[in-house]
Amino acid sequence: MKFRSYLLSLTVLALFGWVMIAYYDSALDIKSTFDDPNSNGFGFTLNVLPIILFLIVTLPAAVMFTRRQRKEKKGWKEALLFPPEFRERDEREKALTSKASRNSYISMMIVLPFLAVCMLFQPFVSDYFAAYPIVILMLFPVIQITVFYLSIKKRLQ
Amino acid sequence: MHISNRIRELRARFQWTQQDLASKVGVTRQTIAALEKGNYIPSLLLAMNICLEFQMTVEEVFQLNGEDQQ
Repeated sequence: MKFRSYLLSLTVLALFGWVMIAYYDSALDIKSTFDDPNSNGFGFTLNVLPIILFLIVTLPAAVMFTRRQRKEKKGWKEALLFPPEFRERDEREKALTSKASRNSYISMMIVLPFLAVCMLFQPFVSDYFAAYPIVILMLFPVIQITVFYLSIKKRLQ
Repeated sequence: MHISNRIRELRARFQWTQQDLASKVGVTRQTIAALEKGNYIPSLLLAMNICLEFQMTVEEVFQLNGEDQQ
């Protein structure tokens, strides 16, 4: 896994998290409309900036990665769904991936209880930042990808 | 205990680049570089393929070093 690929993954995850926060805020708006008996109509606000940014970053990246995979004679299913970091070219790369995946799995077992504890603060934080659970949820893949990347980097040095 | 090898020396004798040997045994150049540096222990299949290319036995290319060596 190259640094560029790692950075792109983090950017996509951050933007996806932001998009989810925007949707979450809109869902709260919709709920307050339903809950308000004096409401005459139906309305909500949606921050479209993260959605636009997400599409600007992910669409070209998705097209580029898919075209590259298709050039390598990969099927559409594999080109669209298979993570590029698992495209091993020989046994050494397979060994690197398996060790990094193992470390990533172990890190999840360690991180999971800490993130679950972080969720306990949700009632206190939700007044100031309603989408707090989304941030906690997005930390899972961020930590997983970071551990995977660092494991590969360490073994390549 | 670790495994050392003579791949760099043999490759030089045969005047092969790392890429040449990598192509012959079906791995990447980086894997040959890692083998030469001793950073990677090959599978039995790869080790035997390398020996086959050099037309040598496994013992001639790979040596087991360490305290427990018989």
